[in-house]
Amino acid sequence: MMEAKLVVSTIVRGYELRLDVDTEVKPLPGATLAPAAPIRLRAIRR
Amino acid sequence: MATQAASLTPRRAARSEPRLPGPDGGWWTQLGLVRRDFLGFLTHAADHYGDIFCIRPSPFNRIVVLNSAALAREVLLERPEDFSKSSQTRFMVGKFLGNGLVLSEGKDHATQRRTLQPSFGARALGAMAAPIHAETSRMTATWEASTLVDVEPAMTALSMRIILSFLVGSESETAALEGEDGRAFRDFADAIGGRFRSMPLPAWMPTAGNRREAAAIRQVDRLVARLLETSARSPEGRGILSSLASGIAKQELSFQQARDHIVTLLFAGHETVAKLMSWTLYLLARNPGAQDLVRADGEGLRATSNVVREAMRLYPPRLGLRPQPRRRASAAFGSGAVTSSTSRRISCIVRPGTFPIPCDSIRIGSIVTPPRRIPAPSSRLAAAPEAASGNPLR
Repeated sequence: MMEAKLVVSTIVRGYELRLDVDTEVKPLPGATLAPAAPIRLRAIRR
Repeated sequence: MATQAASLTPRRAARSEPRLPGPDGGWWTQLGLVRRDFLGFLTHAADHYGDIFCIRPSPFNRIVVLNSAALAREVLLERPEDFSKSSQTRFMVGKFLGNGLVLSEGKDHATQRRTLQPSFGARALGAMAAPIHAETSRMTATWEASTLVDVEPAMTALSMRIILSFLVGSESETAALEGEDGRAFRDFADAIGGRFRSMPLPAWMPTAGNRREAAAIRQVDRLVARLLETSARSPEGRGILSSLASGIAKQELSFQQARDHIVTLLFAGHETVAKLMSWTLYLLARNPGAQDLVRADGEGLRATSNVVREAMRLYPPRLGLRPQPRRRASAAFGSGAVTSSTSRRISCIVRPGTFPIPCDSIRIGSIVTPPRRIPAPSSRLAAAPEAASGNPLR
């Protein structure tokens, strides 16, 4: 939880995130709940 | 009811118990639905049959699904003496993780927790903040002014570096572990993941999948042995690896126990966190307003914490657990209304969106959605996950 918080905060403070193609990514259950398709984000430096 | 059932033979007891509601169709039909869309199948069943229902995805398996926060809490947290970790979980991950924290039980589990506790204290975790920030900044430093990022592999690589630095406690040694060694860990995690995506066969069968898994385990075992030897030779070493090496030297734990701790931490601390971070960034990308909240967050990262919790609620990295009742009489749950009936397996499956919004999220909710009274978990189940919350993170 702490790790996720710090990583997300560091990324969002430095970059604006947009979905490259605005489509819904479905979850795929397995050992963990993984994205069924690649999540491609456009990171734009602030 | 449970006491009465306990006094009967298993078959007669099964007949005397109420039949649980559940989807129609034989196991073949249900197996097809599960393989096609497991989440859709579960959501449909929960909407129609409520908090407790039974599914039958194979001829030998009737699985009781508990789809409520209160029931999951009762089984997983409040009654450890009545439920054990299931043989199915052992079958799926036992040969990889050994008898580490994920699979050990009772006194053994408590002893292991005490051994590892100091490494997870506030001071130890606080000391990790700087390395986490540094590793993340190192990753983003490679990004240009506008970069297309494939989030899941990026977060998987990042979380691997972070967990390695937590284990070895030094930046230079973490860097040294990349390349061949990092690949050994990744192969190991992939082998575990692959097991859940296929129908695993017993380990004695000489299949290609079993050979791949055995090779991944051997590779990681060799690496862990080398890491422990190196740590034992450097007395000023930091990190959990060093504490475990010192524990072996003092004969407080065996090499096998240390190995099981390390691989458990590697898998549990790497795979699930990577998925959580991927889903959180995905949700943030769809909600620019929530990005503004995270960017303007104060030192305590309260808003960020709420966003991560909400992502965890909507996309729980670990979807379900399968505890197993220790005795038939103890299997009664849900105020004794239902027993495990013909199944000895219970699935606490957290359908995405099922759990109530964490209290703290109401604060973020008050900014992005109107605050409101959160109903009890069971009544929320009547609504589809999409309708359960007006949270714009969705």
